[in-house]
Amino acid sequence: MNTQSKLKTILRRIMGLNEFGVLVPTIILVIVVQCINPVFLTYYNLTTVLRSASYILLPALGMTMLMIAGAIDLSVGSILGLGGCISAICMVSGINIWISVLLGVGVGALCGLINGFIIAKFHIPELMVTLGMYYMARGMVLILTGGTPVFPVPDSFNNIERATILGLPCIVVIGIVLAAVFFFILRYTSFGREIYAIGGNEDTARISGIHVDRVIIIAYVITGVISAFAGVMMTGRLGSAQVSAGSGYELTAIAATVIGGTSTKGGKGSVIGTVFGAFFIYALTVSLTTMRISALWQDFVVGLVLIIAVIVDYLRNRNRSR
Amino acid sequence: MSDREIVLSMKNIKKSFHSNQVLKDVSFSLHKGEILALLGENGAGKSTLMKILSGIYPAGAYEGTIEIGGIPKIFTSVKESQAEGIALIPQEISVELDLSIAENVFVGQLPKFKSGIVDWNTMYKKAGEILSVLGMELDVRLPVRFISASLQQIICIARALVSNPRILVLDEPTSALTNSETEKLFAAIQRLKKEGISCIYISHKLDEVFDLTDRMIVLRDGYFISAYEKDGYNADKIIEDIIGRKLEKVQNTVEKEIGEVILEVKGLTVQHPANPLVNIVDHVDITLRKGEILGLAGLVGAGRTESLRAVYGDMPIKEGEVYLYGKLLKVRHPADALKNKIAFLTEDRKKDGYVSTMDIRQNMSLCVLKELLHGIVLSGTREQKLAKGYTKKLSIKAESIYSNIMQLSGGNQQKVLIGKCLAAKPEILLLDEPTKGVDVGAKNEIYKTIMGLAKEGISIIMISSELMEVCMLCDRVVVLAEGKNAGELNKEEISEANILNRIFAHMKKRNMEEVI
Repeated sequence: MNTQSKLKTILRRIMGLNEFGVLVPTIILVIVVQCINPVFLTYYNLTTVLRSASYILLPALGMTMLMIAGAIDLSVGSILGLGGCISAICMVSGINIWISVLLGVGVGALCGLINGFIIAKFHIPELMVTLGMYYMARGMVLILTGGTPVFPVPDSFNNIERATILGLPCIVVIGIVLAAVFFFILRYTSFGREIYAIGGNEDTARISGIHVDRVIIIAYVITGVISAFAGVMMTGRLGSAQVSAGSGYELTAIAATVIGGTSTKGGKGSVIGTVFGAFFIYALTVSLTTMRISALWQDFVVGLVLIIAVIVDYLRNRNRSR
Repeated sequence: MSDREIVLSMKNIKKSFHSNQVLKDVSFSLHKGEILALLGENGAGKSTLMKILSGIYPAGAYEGTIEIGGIPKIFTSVKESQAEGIALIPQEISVELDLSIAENVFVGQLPKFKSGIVDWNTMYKKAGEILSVLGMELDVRLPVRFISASLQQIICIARALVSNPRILVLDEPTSALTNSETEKLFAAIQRLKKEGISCIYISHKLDEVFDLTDRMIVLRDGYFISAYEKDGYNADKIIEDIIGRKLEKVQNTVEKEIGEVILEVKGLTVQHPANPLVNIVDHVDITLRKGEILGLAGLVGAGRTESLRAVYGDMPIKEGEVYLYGKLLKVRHPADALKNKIAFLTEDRKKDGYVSTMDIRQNMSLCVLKELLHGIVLSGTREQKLAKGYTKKLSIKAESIYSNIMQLSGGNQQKVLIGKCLAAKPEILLLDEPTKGVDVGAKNEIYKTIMGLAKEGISIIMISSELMEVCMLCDRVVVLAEGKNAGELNKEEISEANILNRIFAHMKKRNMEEVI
């Protein structure tokens, strides 16, 4: 009886973790797939998964911060495309690589600033403002490129993306480092605490002397920057800026965040969950292929997992409020 | 007195949450046509007991037996409890504002034809009948948006009556009502009593309970403590039973120095948030001295809250100036007020008081995050020390500073928020209804805290709708009416009668002016 109740408390504590909804399925997935087809945990396979996941992880980190603050950003995919496009155009026209990268990222910051400013100052729903930016940024890509890919970008730039550090692709290392930075910001800085407070109760945050507008604008700018940076890296990966680069990423980023246990109502969530959420989505794709299930099932399964994650979040909230 | 037939008895009820036993052997019975009060502090087990009765906690989740009319019953769901004639009316009014009264009464149980189409005529007719039982003659087609809060509460009762209950459970039904609305509600309950319906009535407002109920039972810490008949009760004795000790009379007799003027508000004018043509605060003057407890009295809508919020920087000041130590103070955001050592306690904990997703520690440190920084890192040790300090100072009852704020009783939540204000080391403390939704025992502790703070030299402006509180605590009272100064009372003059006199004198004068 005693050991049983102890087991129960341990189980309850694990279930109480925000990341629970994604951790267990991820582990189960990896074990099951590895048993069926041992090719899964090979170097090549794993780096493929990690690389794809990292491109989602970058915007998803910003999304996590915003969703914890009770906001959302539908424009990250378009900003990703625009950032990559701007830097490619600069490079093609002969501007120094680093300045080109900076310009691409700067445009991302500008998009985030516009998002944040309108949302904070005019109190317009995040969904509508960022939906507008979703179209505008993508539209800007079309205007600038005329609908055709931008290339050739210099090899010296492409080589950055192709480099490996400790055997891991550059973008994976960047993803890990940025995840650590976001983890630190959200967990150990006053800015992070302010984000949680705003998502938990915006009125209380304001009464407590938190400059809600300022925090929200900064969060959108950071999200814009990190998304555009992912776009710049993707240009390096593909050797060109594609018109449709990053399209649909906003939804995958939201999925990764929510699967990772961040509350859709704000106030709760974690970077670690999002890291696993992004990994899970791509691990799932690859596992379907390694299990010889048609890749056409991918979207269906991701959707299913997303809904399960939201239900888990709901159930845990309900238990808490009782 | 109606016949003494027992309609309900709950015997030896025990219930635990995890390791925490909330109900430890409670038994009671309810007679036909009786109004029974269930008294106790927050956390005494009243709500848990009623949730067991109404099937929210199903059989198996608790120990003990429930008998209806002498026959043991097992409820595995709310439906089964309702089928036995038990109806629980929750504390919060829940109505659909844009649906009609009749639809709100029948929501979830609309009368239908066999074809499945709603039978509107029957619904309107039956809704009218039920409401007339409650003494209300209303146009049942009217959207609920247009009726008052008390009528909305009565709609919630009417909704419970649709299923012909024999036992009605009312959980704090008057918390959102005014005095005259409360009277209407009581008349309705008395009418139901005549129909032979029994009532279990939960309330913190003892005057109401003494007025309305036939019998009172007191729970404390999960135990049945005592029962009192309507006649020959002793109010002090009941309060002692509720809080488990003698209630000391708090009196503001603390000897203290009241110093120089510290805050001066001149001609403060604040625009009504919903109507730009009206000033909700209209040229109000307030002065506050060091170490003083200044009461801001007035009726709801007199502009008390708005005055404080404007000084705190949470509402824009349209006209007028605020001087702190004689220097003009510009406050555009609560952050500016906090920087100038002005802290504010909200009257609505849920709306802008606590952050429900955070624990005690995180709630307390919210105003002083920047001060807790060690380099760029939020210092965990300093935050912990701060929370532990105020938890101890304000004797907050909680498992630890890492308990979520939602696990606390209303009184302890309020103390956490007072701790949050104190963490900002204020010189001026603005308290808006500091004892709202707090039980008797905790109220007394909050009174003592407020007086203690004033003795330490903190200057306090306090709003309270309980005039008794104002009279007890304040050194001086500024009376507001309709957004204007309506008088000022010094310590010797403070009394409920004087405050009300000032308010009515002001209104009368204004009416006269309008006539002329």
